[in-house]
Amino acid sequence: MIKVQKTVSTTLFSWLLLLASSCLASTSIGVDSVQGNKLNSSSSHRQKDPKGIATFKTELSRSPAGLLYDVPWLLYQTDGQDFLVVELGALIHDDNEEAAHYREYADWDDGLLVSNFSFATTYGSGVYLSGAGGSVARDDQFYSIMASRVGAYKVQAFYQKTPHVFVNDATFLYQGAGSDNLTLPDALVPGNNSTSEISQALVGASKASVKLTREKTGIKIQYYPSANLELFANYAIESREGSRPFGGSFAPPFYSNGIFGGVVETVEPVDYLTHDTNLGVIFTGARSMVNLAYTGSFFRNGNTSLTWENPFTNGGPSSFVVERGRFALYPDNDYHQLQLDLSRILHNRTQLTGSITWSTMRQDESLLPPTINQGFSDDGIDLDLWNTTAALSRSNSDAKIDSLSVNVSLYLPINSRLNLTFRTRIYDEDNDTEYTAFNPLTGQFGYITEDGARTGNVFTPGTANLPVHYRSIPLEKSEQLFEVEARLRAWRTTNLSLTAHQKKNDYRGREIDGSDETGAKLKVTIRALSIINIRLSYAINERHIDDYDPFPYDEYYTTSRSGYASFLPDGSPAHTLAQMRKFDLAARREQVFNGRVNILVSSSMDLAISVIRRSNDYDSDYGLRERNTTTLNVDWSFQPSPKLNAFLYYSRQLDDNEMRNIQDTGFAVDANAGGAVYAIAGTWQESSDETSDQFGSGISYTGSKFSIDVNYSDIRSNTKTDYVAASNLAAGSAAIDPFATPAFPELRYKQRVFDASIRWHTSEKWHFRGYYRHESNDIRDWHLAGLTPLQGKHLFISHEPVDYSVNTIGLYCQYQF
Amino acid sequence: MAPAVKESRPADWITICCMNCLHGLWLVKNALTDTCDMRSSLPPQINAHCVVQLALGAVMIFTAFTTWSEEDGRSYLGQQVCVSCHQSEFKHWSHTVHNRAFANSSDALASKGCEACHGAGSAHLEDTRDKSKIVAFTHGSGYTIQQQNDVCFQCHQGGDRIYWYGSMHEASEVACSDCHNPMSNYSSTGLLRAKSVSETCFHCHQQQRIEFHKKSHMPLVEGKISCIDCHNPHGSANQALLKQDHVNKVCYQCHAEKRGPFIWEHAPVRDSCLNCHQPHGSNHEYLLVSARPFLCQQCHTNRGHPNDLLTPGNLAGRQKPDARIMNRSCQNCHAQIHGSNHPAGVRFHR
Repeated sequence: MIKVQKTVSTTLFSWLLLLASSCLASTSIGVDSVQGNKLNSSSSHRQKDPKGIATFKTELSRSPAGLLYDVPWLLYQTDGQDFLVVELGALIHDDNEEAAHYREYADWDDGLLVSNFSFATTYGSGVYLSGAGGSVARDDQFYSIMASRVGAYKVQAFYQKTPHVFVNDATFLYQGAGSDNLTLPDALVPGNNSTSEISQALVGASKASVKLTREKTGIKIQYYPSANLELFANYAIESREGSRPFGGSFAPPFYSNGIFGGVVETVEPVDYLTHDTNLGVIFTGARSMVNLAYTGSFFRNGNTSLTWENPFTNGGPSSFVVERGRFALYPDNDYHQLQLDLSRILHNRTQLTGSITWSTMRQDESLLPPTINQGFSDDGIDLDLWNTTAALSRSNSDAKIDSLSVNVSLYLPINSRLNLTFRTRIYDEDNDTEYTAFNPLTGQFGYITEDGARTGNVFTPGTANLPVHYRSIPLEKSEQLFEVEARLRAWRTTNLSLTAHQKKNDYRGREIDGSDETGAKLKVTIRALSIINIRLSYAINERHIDDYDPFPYDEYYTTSRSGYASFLPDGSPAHTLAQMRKFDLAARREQVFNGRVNILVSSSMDLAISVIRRSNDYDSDYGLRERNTTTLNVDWSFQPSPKLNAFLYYSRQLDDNEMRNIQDTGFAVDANAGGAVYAIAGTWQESSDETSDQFGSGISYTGSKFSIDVNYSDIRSNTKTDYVAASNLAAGSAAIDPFATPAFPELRYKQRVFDASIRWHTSEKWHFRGYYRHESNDIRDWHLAGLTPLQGKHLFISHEPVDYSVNTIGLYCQYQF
Repeated sequence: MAPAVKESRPADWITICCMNCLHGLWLVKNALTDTCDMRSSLPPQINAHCVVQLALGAVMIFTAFTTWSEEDGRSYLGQQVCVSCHQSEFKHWSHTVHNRAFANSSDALASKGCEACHGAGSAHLEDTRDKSKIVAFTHGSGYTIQQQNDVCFQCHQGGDRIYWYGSMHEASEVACSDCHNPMSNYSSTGLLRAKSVSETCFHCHQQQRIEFHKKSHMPLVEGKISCIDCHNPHGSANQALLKQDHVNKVCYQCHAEKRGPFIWEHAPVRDSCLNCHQPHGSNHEYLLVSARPFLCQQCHTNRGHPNDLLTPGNLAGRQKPDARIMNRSCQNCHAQIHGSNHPAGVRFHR
């Protein structure tokens, strides 16, 4: 007994010491399940127990699925229940500062650092306090603390900071980057500069990072009034600050063959604040279970708009100058959700479970005027009648979407061999957002396009018009699902399962009114063989759709208004290709094969092989026609003793898709392929083939004085983008021969990471660790290839990603108080 | 309730107590011959250890006759008996949250210690190699997955696991101990089998491992999020074990700004974020499923500029650089593609 007590007295210590990252434990509600960072994601900062866990067994145990369990961490020794463990040291690296990808979510700055720490203490009988953290004062720091008493309460709090670097060394022509107002340098005049003047101004442009930082702080309280009752309350506040790359257009230059207009890459100022809360009660009786939870989320944006000055000259027929543009940034929104789960265990393990979830998302931001500019636009619109909120049909968004879902499932064991499960689900959305673009000052429907840079989409009854989209489309979707699964235990360790489902979707505001999906899935689980564990499944789903209307939006366009007159004598011009089928609605056959085999090669070695093949064939002549993904994984693990562990894995993923489109020839009524607008000669087809390979390996050895942990991973992805065209008519630029180069350069991504730690256990209290990491990266992306800040009438801040090869060295010491 | 071991042999209790004493004597012998190699003993304290072992045996013999329990043909031996052999296992287990819960619980089940989970241990003494004589949670266990999981459900029923029965994992014969190892700390929390949630999931879901290592990915491998931020592996009423009744609501948990609703909505965005994004990782920017502009052109054949074939000649520095394919592609102009709240933002330009 004394021995037992002594062991117990040291237990909390190491259990809590493991809180290199802490966890808010619920897997059903909320996020923030972990706190950690890249520096501490490696296993190297903890030593494994060279003796393993077993007293008698010399080989490691395996999970029921047949895979070897890892070796647990070495238990720390301490004389008392209070402890503090700190690992601190220094980090140096030869980073290329331009390599944004290296720092995307991590802070690798040189210098001294507290790598991680943890502590625990005990009060009275059964009250525990523990905490952990890492990378103190860095951009990826994290902390957590927990106080609990078993059966009484648990209080957890956390703080986590996450950087997100988009571009390092971005070129900023504008002043005020990161604010809601981007102004040109003094040398440039808004809306009236030649490209040479802009080019000259770029010489003095500043360079800086485009990045944002998430900081989240939260608390979770669980209180247990009785053994079967839990009350919980969570609250978290998250701020996101910084900026991210954004767009901006003053009429795209391709309309004028590059003569006028301009496209600007701006930066969106990010000053977000989100409050999240969960409140609820969980009751768990012997046969009845109830979960009731409220979720609230409240998003607030410190910037309502982004204004940026136009560096380019629009050069229209009049003297109108498009001086600036203005975005409406993400509006504040509120979200409320109530969820009730009920479950009752009936006779003989039969379980009836149901849930009902109601939620509402609301947004009522004050609306901006339709334009920020003034004067008469090139097409004669008096913008002074459109640049105030008086030009709006209403002042606020008043947007709301409610949803309701009901789920019921019945788990029905017929006997010891046969189980049936019935599930039904109803999901329904109610979109109560109605906005009409109507200007009471002019009595006109429509809007100003790109702050006057392009012809206004303003409807004038009785005048030949193009259709104008003037009303919001309240998109809604509802779903009814019924599913039945029969599971047969064919032998003691072999299960067969057959699932069939029928799903019906109904839409509002889409090209189809509804779709029906039927599917079946056959699954086999074989555990009968001592050296192999097999899971196989095959599923097929067929989606059938109602009549597809390629343009069901008349009621939201001015074509539905009295006084509409098309400029074509025989009707409105075709909006889109009649034979196009949007892939999220198109008739589809989906097949999924999933095979997983765990092979127990020997008592110390296992091999896991899996193959997953997902294919989607769309019944579409135009649009996405097919998408297939195949993944092969082979994992090998070898653990001859608790001291030695080695693994290798290889994964290959193949992804291909094919789509088809037709370049139109102009205005006509006929929307059919082969008609006047969509001539077959304009047909083109694009196909994408992507291959990704990942190889990983690692070995760790734990000795009495030294331990070593070495890992290497290599991932390579190549995406080939090919196209074919029926003729030159398919090309977007008449000057370009589409047959000249029938393929894009490869999209390529390579990353190699070598990571090694050597730990010297000088004593039970002192450990020293040397850390080395080599990471190299190679990105080729034709979107960014050759990108310079000024490309004709395009102004960019981004550039082609910089290859990097970074060596990082860390030296740490860990002390256990 | 843990499945019963068929036979009850009270004599085994005495046997194990005697074995404990013999163990102590054996330690003494080893100490005298300086050949002690006990895996978990501490050589400098070997004499004290031997004394404790002998004393423990005596205490156990005493308690054997005072606290003997028998239930449905099974015999509960008490934790001390288990520990007398499984010292290393117990030492590791005693550092877990389970031990803390058991130590501070007045629950009758918790008072059974090891046997609360492993079932009455008397039959195990007959043949310690026969896994059918005790509830084992490892490969080759004599108990079905359901029987093993039922042991966990003695305490862990309901709450997050209210949808376990009939769930994808349950139906696939996944055992609790395929993901958890309650015997020691392999992870910071959750008594997982691996050091993190994601590595636990990757044991079976290797496809997600390669995807999370692609060029664009959420910070999962960087330790900032985990699989259970989006999925509930213990069962869910929703597709793919998602934690919300619509996939978009899962995404809004971290991307609340995209929730809106907006006065101008983009239909596939409202329908499902997955129409355009691959949440587990992608070789395309922003987790996109395909390269732009072709991703957009899978739906947009609208008359005008959307249906043009753009070629390498339209890339930066080539014959005809075009905004539709360079850099952010379509989103150079249609920047508010997730929805616009600007009165003139119907085409997401503003």
